[in-house]
Amino acid sequence: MGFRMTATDHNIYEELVAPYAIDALGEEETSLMEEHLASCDNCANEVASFHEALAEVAPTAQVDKHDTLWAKIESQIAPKSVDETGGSIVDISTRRRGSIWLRPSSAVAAIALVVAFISTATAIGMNSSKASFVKNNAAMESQILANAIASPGSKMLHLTSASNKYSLDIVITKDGKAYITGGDLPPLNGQKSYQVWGIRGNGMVSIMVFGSHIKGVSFSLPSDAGFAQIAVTQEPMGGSPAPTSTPIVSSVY
Amino acid sequence: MARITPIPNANKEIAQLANLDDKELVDEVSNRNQNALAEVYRRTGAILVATAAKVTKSQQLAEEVVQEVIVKLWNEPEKFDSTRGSLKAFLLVQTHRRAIDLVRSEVARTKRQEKVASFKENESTRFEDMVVDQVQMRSILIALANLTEAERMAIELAYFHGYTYTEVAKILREPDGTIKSRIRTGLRKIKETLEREKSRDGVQDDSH
Repeated sequence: MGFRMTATDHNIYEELVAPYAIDALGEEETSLMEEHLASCDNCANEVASFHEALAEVAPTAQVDKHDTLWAKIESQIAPKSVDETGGSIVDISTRRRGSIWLRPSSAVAAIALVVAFISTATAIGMNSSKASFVKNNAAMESQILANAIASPGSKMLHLTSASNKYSLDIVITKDGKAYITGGDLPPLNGQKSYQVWGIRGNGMVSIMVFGSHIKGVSFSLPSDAGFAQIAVTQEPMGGSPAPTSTPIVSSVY
Repeated sequence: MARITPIPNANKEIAQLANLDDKELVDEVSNRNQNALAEVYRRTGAILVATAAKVTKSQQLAEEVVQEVIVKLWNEPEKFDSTRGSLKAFLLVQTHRRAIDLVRSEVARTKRQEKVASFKENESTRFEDMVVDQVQMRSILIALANLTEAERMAIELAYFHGYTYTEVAKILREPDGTIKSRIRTGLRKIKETLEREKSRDGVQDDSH
């Protein structure tokens, strides 16, 4: 250490305010500085003002690439949520009501149930009990996505529109299960569905059709299918045997 | 911008949360509103990840750091005091400290010491030549602040590379006091420029 602090001279601390603000002190100086800051408003205020300035010049990243990070954060905070019916903090592992959650034997089945349930619940209007149930299902959905993202050999596919206005993120596990983790697509107009296509050779192969709830939608996307690109179009509800519109988003596969 | 999927039937809609100030937003986090935390992430995630990645030189470590910091806010929202600064600055400090801790861990420490020593031995190598592609803070604000190259380098070596000011002094072959002074002068220039710009913006806003 280039400097040993034994005195309580304010000037000495003052010199260290800036290095402290950027975490450039050694351990000993840091703890001495923190003791000083607890009793010196002037220095504490200067540290705070340096932190504000640093926040203004901090670099920035493309958040789009970190939607998977939010999925991980969400999965960590999801297990404990507010039970709207009782107001207490509960663990969702004890909140699985009824036998419906005992039947699914795979993550894919669970997601399908979640999507189906959320759609139904939205259509009939949610009472508080159902809303709580849906919230917990959403937590499980996030957990499944986080597991897929964290599974060895999984990869992310980021589909975008030409202008980058729209996007769709898909995680594909090593064994070819694909899950939509999030995205931003234009609203479905009238009687429409989204349709995922695999592009290979001279043709487009329909992979699956989905509706306006996109997160958690699952499908099969084997790595040996030979697709060069993946694209999503809007098609008549239920899908079309061949695309009738240009892709909204696409990505090299 | 990332689309953060809202939690059904949350206490407040995303659109409402976007209009909350820092204190109101963290109050919502205290109420266990997951959408509020999503809004925190939306507002700050980009700079937190970027800063952590600059420090750790690893996207994976950076994301782990940010995940830890955001989850910590969820678990301990009372640690944020809006009277002491913005939420962005608060989370950035947490993120930077955690990233620095990783960089200064035992394994990394040995490598760093070797690196510092190599600068001393190799007299023909200018550090500036080795960091030519590591321009980090070329924002408009930095340009306006008119930092000297020596001030910018002292700050960046410490802030983004995790060196203490005494290590920076060794790398740049300058006295400790010179480096402390450069860091302080540089930060004060940035701070004063920021205050000046805010004040000017305030005047412009008032005139509308």
